[in-house]
Amino acid sequence: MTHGRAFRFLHASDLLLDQPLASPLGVPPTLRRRLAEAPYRSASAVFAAAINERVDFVVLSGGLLHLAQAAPSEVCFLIEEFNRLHQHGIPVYWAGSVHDGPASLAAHYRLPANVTHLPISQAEVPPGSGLVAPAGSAVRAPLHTYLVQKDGEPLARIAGVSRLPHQGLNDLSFHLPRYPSPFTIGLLHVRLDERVDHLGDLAGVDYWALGGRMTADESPRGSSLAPVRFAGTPVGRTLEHVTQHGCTLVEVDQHGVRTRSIATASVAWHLERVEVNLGDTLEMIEKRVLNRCRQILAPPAAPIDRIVTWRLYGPHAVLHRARVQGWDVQLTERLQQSHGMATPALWSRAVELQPAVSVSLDDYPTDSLMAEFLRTARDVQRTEAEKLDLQPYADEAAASLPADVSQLDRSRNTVPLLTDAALLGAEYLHGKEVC
Amino acid sequence: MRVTDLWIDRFGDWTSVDLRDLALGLNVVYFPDAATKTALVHFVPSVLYGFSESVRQRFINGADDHELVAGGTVTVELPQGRYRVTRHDRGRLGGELTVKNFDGELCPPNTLQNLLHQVDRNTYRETYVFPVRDFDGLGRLQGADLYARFARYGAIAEPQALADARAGLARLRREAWKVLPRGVAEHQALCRKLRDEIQTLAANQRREETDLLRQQPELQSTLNKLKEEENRLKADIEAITRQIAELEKQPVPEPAPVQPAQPQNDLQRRLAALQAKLDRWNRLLKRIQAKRSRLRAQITECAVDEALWRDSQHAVWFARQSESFHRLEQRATELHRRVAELVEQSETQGRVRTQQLLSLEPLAAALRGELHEISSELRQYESRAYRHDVLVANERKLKEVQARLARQIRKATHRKHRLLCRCNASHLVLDGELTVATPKSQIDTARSDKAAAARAEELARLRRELEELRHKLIQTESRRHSTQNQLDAIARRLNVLRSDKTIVEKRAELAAAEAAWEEATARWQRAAAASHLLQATAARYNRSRNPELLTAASEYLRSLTSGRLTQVRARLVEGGLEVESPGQRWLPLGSLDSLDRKTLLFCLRLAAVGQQVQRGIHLPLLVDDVLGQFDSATCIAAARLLVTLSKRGYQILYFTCRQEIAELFEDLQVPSRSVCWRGERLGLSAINGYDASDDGWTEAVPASVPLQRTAKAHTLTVVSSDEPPAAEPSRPLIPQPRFRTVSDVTFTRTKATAPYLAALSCPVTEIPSMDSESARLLGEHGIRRIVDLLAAEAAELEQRLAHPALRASRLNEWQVEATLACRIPHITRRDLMLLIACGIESPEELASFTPDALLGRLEARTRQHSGLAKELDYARSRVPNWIAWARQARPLPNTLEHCLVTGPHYTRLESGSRSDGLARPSKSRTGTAAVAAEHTATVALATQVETPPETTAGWRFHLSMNSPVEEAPSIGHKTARRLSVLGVYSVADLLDADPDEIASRLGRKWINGNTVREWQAQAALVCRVPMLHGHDAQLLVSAGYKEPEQFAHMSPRQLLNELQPLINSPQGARILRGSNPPDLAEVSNWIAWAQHARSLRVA
Repeated sequence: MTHGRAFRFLHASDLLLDQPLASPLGVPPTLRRRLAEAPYRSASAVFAAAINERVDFVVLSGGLLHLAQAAPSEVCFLIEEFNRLHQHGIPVYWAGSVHDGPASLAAHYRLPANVTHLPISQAEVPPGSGLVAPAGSAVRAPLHTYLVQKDGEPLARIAGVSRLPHQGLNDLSFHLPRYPSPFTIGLLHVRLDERVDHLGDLAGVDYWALGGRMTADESPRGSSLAPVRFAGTPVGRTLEHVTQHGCTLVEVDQHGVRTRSIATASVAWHLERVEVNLGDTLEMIEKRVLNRCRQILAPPAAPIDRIVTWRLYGPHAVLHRARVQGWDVQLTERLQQSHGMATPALWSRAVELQPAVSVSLDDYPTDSLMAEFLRTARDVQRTEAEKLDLQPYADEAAASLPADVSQLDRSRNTVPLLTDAALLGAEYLHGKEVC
Repeated sequence: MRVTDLWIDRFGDWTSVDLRDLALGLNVVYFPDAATKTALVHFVPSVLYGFSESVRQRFINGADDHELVAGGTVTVELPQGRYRVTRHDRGRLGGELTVKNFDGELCPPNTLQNLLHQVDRNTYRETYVFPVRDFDGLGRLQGADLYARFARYGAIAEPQALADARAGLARLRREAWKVLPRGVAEHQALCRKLRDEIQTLAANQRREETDLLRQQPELQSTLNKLKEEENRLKADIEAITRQIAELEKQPVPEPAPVQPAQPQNDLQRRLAALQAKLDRWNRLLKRIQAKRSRLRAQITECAVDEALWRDSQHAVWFARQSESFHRLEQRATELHRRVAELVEQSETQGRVRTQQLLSLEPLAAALRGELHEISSELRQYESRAYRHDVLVANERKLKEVQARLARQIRKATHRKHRLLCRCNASHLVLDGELTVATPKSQIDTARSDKAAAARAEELARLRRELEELRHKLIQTESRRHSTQNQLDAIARRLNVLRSDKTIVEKRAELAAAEAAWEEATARWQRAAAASHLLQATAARYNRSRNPELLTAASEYLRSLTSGRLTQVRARLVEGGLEVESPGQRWLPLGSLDSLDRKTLLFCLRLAAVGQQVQRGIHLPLLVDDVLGQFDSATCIAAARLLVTLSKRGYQILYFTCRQEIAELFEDLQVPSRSVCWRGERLGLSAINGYDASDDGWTEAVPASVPLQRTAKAHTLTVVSSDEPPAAEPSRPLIPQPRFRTVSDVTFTRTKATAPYLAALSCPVTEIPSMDSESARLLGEHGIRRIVDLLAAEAAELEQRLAHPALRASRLNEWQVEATLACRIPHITRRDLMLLIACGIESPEELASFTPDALLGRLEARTRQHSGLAKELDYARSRVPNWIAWARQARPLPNTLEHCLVTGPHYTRLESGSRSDGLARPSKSRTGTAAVAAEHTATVALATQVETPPETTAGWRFHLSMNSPVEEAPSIGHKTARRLSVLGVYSVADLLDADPDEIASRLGRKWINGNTVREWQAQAALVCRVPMLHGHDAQLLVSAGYKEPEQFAHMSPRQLLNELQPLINSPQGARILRGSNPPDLAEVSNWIAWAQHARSLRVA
């Protein structure tokens, strides 16, 4: 694909200003404050990147904020950032999700002139009927298109909508009229349950700037397919978001489209796996963990706060004993004291022990308790996974647990839980059977 | 290992006692004197393991006398030869040990440990020695003591493992909630509160912002209007000020000369002045009243009602609040001091103090919050009270001024009235102005005064107007300032709202709380689910599965109690053992009587020995006079059990002092040896089949099988009674390890392979309804295994047995039971009983049923047999499983053939007679028997095809193409199962498979294509070469001989030399697994057999 005039734009989404990080327990107040402000700092970093990279425009694929439930300070932060871009002459195209569409923005807020908040789109109905076509009807809602110009010349075309609650991708019409400008950017926020594989094959769009996923992701790009990219959130929220987070810088020129991730996270989540060998003492393992801490913090590591979960795996003989002794908890505390109080901090969230236990029935005598346990676990997974009542195991400390905790049914996928439980039970039974 | 001779030298009361030729089976040694036998029970362990301190104190006298050294010799026999173990007490613990082989050579110190299979002293004592002491007083034990007596056999070690796991998981469950510092309920409340707060805060802020933004333009408009009004007023004031200035510039008219006697005018002037003063005071009074009204309104606004303020309750509240405030302040101060101390200590005492410090932090925060709330409330209250005070004081002052002014007005009015009375002329007061009617002569003067008065009046009017305008201006300015202030306040509030980070902090707090909750619940759920699995495991284990030890013990228990007690199992949840009694269900140990406890202990110990035997450890049992502890029925049953075990290859030395016990064994065809006081050997009864020149091996062979010993044979050959031995000499005798041969026959208890209840090679006692007496009768007629029973024709067998209890119908029932047990997986004895009751005769018939139909049939049978009624509920839950399992039933032919082909070695010459028996199915047979007959017919036919008489007549092949792959060399149970997943079930499948593909699909790093090729070559070799064993093939293939033609014409010496490096290598040791390496004779056999190899096609 060729393009007349080269340009670059920044693609970001899911700032989620109203979703702070899950701050681990026991963090010192200064770090707690930094964690609370992390979404704002990271969002600021996104807009600063747009200014620093001198982009021609910014596209935001929704998920910025739950506007209807946001406090004034949160909306104003966004407007201030838009103003900052306005001062640098950078246009912003913002396609809202169901929570940050233009209808959710209170009327008294005035967005700066550089911001185009894409409206919602509804299916066209016979003129004069005064009716709105229902979602899923044969009539589909068209995308809104905007022409991005620079010095009077068209750079690109933005095609997108802000989403409606019950409007699926199938309710949208992706048919776009041909336009002299060869480069069209599709701008949408998609829900988690919506598949986007087919978008890359749709004609008329050269780059899909999507939002709605926490991690950056790009579908395989072939010669005939348009890239379909999720920018991801600028900062991870939980342990699951251990990858790099930020926004995407997209450069378009005569050679095609190039994307580059720009890190904006002010807090990073780490999952560090440490192998333990038979014969290792607890002191040796701790030394290994401390060495890894030093490696993480050593230059050229970015000066950001880091929340680390240590996952130690290895022989049952070493790690199960460590667990029974409470060594994992003690090590967590020592790591927090040694590396968690500094700025930036390396806060150890937990030390998880994964003693290696075979769960293969082949490895145990048929009549052994372990074999019976594994068979039971397998059968329970098959038969009882639909409904699991754990209330009888509630101890005094948690005598009255809510039903969503103690009563698990098919609506909650219990198979992973039962698999974990089987591993845990096997760990405790391992080496104890007599047969 | 078996003990052959004992020589006791000064042990207990025994001196120079020589007990020789102890047999492999049951040896009953009868002591007329009870006091002497116990020493003998302890003698063997003492020689084998050393003299313990208690043994020395009890049985060794004069240990310090070096000339009379106590001790003795135990002669043991193993496959590799005999050893003499001699130990004498030399005054030190353990004694002096020498181990010599039968050539008299001294053996290395570890020889004895090897002879004892590394079994330690405690295990030996607790497993193989049955002292009466262990059984004495068992009925009196309760609780932990009773538990401890049974715990040593490992039968209830499982509950401990389970209990440990349960305790560990319970700890994990408790610790899961420690993530929540405030506890579960409070944490949930906190989350709810935070959610509500965030929602409320955001909504309030949005509403407030909307209100402020709505007010802002209105106020701005008002401000603009006020500004305009202010400007207008200023212009008016300026105009009036100009008018006043112009009026004041005009010349004042000359007043008329004052007449001295004109008291009337003087009075009038005074009256006018008084009137003006009155007017001014009245205006002032009105302003004071207005100001008081405003003050009262402000007081009301303060919401501190005067009456309320005076209310004592209020004062009390205030005092209490103040007191709380001061108390909290003190607490805060104390806390700060404590925190400071902890901080100071934390520098020196480290983390413990830091933890305490951290633990105090929430308390301090809560205290600070409370303090802050109360202080702000108090401050607010105080400021309101202060303002109220000021306002009230001002209002009081104004009230006083008003009263004073009113008094002055009243006085002035009174004076005015008096002045009016003094005037002579009539006068009229109109509109507050004094008009005086004057005489005509005074008109000019009056006109002049009137002009002056008009001017003054105009001036006064203008000034009043100016005053009013200024007043209005002040008011307008005040309103403008107020509006401006409101606008500024709105702007400030908007700024505050828009920069308020409270909601960010609240959201972060909520996110942290929710994350902690999720983590805690996830941890708890994991531990709780694991506990659930353990609970389910325990229930299932309790219900259906128990360690083999308990299974074996249950079998013994059933036999010894004649079915009164049927099963023993471990209680995994509660701990301990429990025994099933058909009438009373499961009974815990504590509720058993003394006899049952002793019986149970006896069974458990025998089962423990059985476990050791299954592990390949054969050591002699030393049984004290335990049978004397039982009642007569149990005693007889126990004696029978010992006899049975002895026939299975156990060496039992039973020491008794009771004549009746000795006679009992005599009745059971086990003669006793009498040993009397001081070790004098009085006599040795003839043992059945015992020959003093024999080496004792014959004891292991069932009495029903005649024995034959060839003159130069190295081993024992057992032949069937109806097989003429003359057929044998034409074939070379197989030099196999003798001990292994015997153990194969007698020691290894054939066991069904899970998930099947029985296998064709199992003894007939495995058939659920088979009683031991019937099994014995069948055994006497050669029907020892299930396959024998299935192969037999019921009617013919009935005739042979000629026993009233063994009718053909009964035999048929057993055949059906055996078929179902062997073919249907997962089926239990209980299931089998119900299926037989339903008349099910084959898996195919069962598979053809629908669950409803089967259940209907079962209900119909229930109506006929009321005893089945209680099983109906159980059956309802099992019926679908039965049908499903029946559809997975394994075919009988392969299994049957396998069993026939891989029978024990001693049956190699009885194939003719067996095939005769198998090949004749009867048309009159029913169901299973017919199926079995059909299968056996197939086998017989196959045998005819595959064994051409000129090449393989009389030869037994240990493997055929149809054999299960598990029977192939190098293929174990696990590998066979993995291969079956890949579709390799039989040897033929293995030989047809692509080695590389198999290796890659198996996915085991130690298995590659070459490994599979070796398996194939080994399997092919065993298929082709008669009599060749798997490990022989392993050796040959490893040495490169993959085809029989490669070594069929080699000389034995040459082949042995070729094999020697491999045999001496670790690989060879792995293949041999401790058995003797092949010698020249064995290799000669291989070569001879290879010359009779069949082609793979017919294998």
